Amino acid sequence: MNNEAGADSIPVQLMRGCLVASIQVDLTEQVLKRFRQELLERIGSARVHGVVLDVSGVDVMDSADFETLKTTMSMASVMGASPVIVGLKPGIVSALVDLDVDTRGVRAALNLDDALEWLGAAESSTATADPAVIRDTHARHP
Amino acid sequence: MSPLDLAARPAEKPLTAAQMLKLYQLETADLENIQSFGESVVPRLDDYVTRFYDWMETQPEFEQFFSDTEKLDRVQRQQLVYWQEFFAAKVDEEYLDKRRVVGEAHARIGLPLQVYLAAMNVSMKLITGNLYKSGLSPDQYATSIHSVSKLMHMDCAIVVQTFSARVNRIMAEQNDALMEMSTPVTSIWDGILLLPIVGIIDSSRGQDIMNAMLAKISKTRARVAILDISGVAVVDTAVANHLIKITKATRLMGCETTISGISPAIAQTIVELGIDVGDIQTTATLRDALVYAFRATGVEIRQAP
Amino acid sequence: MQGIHNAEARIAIRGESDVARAIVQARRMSQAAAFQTVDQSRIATTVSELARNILKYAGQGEVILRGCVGATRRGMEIIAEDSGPGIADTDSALSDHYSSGGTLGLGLPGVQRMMDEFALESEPGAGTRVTVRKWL
Repeated sequence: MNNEAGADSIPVQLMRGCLVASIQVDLTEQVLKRFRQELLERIGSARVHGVVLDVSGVDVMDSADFETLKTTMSMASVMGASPVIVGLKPGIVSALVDLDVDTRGVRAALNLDDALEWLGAAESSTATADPAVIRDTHARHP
Repeated sequence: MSPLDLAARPAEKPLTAAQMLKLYQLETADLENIQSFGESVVPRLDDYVTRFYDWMETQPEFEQFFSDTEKLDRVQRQQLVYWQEFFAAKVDEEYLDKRRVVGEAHARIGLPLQVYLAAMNVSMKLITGNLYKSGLSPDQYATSIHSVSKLMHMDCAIVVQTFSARVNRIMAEQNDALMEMSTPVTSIWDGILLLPIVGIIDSSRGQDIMNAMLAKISKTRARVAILDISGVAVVDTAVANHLIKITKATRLMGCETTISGISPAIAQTIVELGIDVGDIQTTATLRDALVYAFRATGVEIRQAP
Repeated sequence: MQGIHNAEARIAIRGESDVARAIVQARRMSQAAAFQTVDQSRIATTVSELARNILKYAGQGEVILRGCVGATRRGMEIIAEDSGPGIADTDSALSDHYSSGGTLGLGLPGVQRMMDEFALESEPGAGTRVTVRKWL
């Protein structure tokens, strides 16, 4: 884990062939942008089939934060890593829905176990897919 | 629902003493009139109490409310204090608070408002008639009576308000109790929640349903929820909006919601309203929703041979 | 069957509970008039839609439910009126998906589809009146 970036950095761990990011910090645009960069680089350098964004440590998330995370998830997806967001708290969910955020295409799970289980199942059902191809297409992105 | 939520309910803010005086057009001169009128009345208040209870005993409510003599004694003492304060005519926040306590006390024992107001009417008659002795000029007397009646109206209004505030509070509590009963999210199988909705969904109920579902999902780790709306009176765009929001929200927690109980009538009105249910899973019957839920959670159902 | 063409109910709309009362009343009247289940549902939904619009856009107003008689048939009439801000562009209000902020809109096109007759009168600053009829 690469933590030199400071207290605001988001730790990313490799678990069962998936990258798990535990987001425990206050969300700012800067934090989220740096996180996106780091995460995508990790996806590029490790053979992962899934990405889990664990936001169970987040108490406040506005629609802009959510959109940024969603974009990060889409980017992970085009790099061949299925993204799952886990641990959204009921209060945040109800606020996001009230703010009318677009949740289409967002895969969510209640907790890490569920997410990894789902990603494991998804992986085994698409065993023939070659993630390397998708990574190659993204080699263009720094 | 916690008591805090009840307290947070927007209540009508009580008026300040200054606002009350203005509302009942009680000027300084009025308060002075009441004080000087009181000089002749207050010494004879014992007489008032005797006469008042002569009247009270003729009322059918008397037995019910003043059965024991100890209680009667206490009430009579309080009544003396009440009129002493009245003729002191010092209308400040403390005065208003004491009047609210009077209202609260009467409301609590369930004394009909009608009896309270009749008692005040009798009191007015006793105080301005039987008790009054000293020699004010007819003009002064008329002015004083006018001032006394203003303050009495204000006092009565406070009591009425306290009564109705109490009724409103009880209604709000009952409403909350009903609300709580009306969102019975039940875990019917491992990972499957069921919430049958009956009646009318308004925005606060929609919010309650969503909160109850989300809380239950995080508690039970449910993967599938069924919202049965066969008992819902009307699905208009607002209700549909709520249902769509709820399914969206549960999905963000990793729980897929199926809406069951779509009757032919509801199906027609939904489509005619132009509501797009998108990718929400909907079924006509609860049975279909259950089959789907079992399949999604990996439960196999087989007919016994 | 009762002669509902005589019946009339006026419900002042000031809060959500009034909307509920209007819905219940609409159900009762349409049932008494022997409307089919689907039409009962259409009538109740229309009342709900119109009453909620009153709350949302004008804050308060009135819903009137009454039986009505045409040349050859009987039916039910619903009037929803308020003295709210009114609708500046009534044509747009009657086209689907006219709303701001991703909500489902006014529901007026839907009401128009569910009812047999529909009239919208509105003047900016003076209020809005929607009159609809459903025939048996």
